[in-house]
Formats: sequence, C-alpha cells, structure tokens
Amino acid sequence: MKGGIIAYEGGKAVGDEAFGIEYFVSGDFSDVFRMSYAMEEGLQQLYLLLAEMCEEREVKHLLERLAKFEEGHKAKMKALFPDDLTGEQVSADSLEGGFNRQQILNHFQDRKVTSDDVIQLGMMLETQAFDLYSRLAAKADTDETKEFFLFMVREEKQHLKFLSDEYDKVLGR
Amino acid sequence: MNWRNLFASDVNMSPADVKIFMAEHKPEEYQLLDVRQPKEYEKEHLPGAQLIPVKELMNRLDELDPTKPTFVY
Repeated sequence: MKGGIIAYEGGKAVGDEAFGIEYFVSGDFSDVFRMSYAMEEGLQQLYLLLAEMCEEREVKHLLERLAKFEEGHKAKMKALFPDDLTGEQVSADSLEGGFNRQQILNHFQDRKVTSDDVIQLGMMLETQAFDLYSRLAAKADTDETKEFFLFMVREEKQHLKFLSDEYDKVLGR
Repeated sequence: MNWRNLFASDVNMSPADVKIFMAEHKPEEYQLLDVRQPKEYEKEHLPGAQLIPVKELMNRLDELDPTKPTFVY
C-alpha cells in the first residue's frame, strides 16, 4: 500500500496482538458466544446510559438509535445461535473491543456529550471490535468458532458503515 | 510457496483504493499484512491486520493464504 499506514485515512485500531483476547481464553464455543453477546449488551447499555446523561435531543436520539442497532445485533446472534445463551450470564462491564464501560462513563461524567463525541466513540469501539474479532477468527481452533467470529467481523463492518454515514451527515451540516 | 512469488502480482495501490476494495469485499476475502515492528503495530494498525514483522516473514509464510489478495504495509 502506497505511503503505508501514515497515508491511510480511516479508522485505525490500537493495542498489541493479544489485546482483548483474554476475554475469550476458554475456547469453548458457548463461552465465546456468551462473552460476545455480553459485550454487545455492554455497549447497548453504555449508549442508553449516555443518552440519559445527555440533554440535547438530537444526540439523545442518535444514542438511542445506536442502542437499537446493538439490540438488532443481539437478536440476530440469538436467532443464529439459539442454543448458546444458556448457562451462567457474563458481566456486561466489558465492551466490544475489550474496553471497560465505567471508564468511558467517567470520561463523559462532567462534560456535555455531542454528536461528534458519540460517533467518534462508536467508531473507536466498533473499529476495536472489528480488529479483535478478526484476530480471534485467525486464531480460532474450530470451524464453528471461526465462522462465528467472521460473522461478528461482518456485523462490526456494518456498524462502522452506519457510523461513518452518520459522521458524513454531521460534517455536512 | 516461496516468498519471492508470494506477492508475484504486486501492485502499489493507494490507501484510498485499498479502502474502496475493503468496502466492496467481505473481510475474509482479503488479507491485511502489517510488516512493521510490534511496537508500531501496538501504537496503531489497520483493523484486522495480521502482524508479521518483515524479518520474520520468510519463516511465517504458512500463516498467509496465497490465494487471497494481500495488502502489505
């Protein structure tokens, strides 16, 4: 690629090759599925909590739409893998990509949340999630797990497209 | 497979063209290969890129799929 990464204008991920992988060490498909589901849940809750903190109607609406997007994603996961949500529930404190929800809430505690903040936060989390699931797919032990992670990668790509379109709208205002 | 012909049909694509290619293809249809050092990868990398530092490339070619388009940076 001409110019290398410096010339690339687009979302970039951070962290070493193992970043976030610690959440998926078990290797058991059911555990892997439940952890991914909990991360989606964690992100949905984050968007809803930020929407509660937010006074601007437009930003609140955007956050609610993003939360709905995660709800749709969870429904799709449940429909595709109906037998894998049984067993002990996983904490939803960890978000897609391996970030911690409380850290992000703390960041926004004493400041006004803008559309720009929301889109950039969403893009950062979805980019990290895309990267994490890609790394997990490459390391997957079984075809079932690999296919699941590739499904998640495709989903994150769709989320990124949605956010990128929203960003274009914000820039075009 | 030989490292000399792994990227036999190499083309130096612009980042904008790479971005378009990625938008038009499923992530599993291509490979992104980061040949920099681990510290550089850690600081920032293209989402989904596989890290194989250039000095390790010859010994780790079996980790790549020679049938897929591969974007190297």
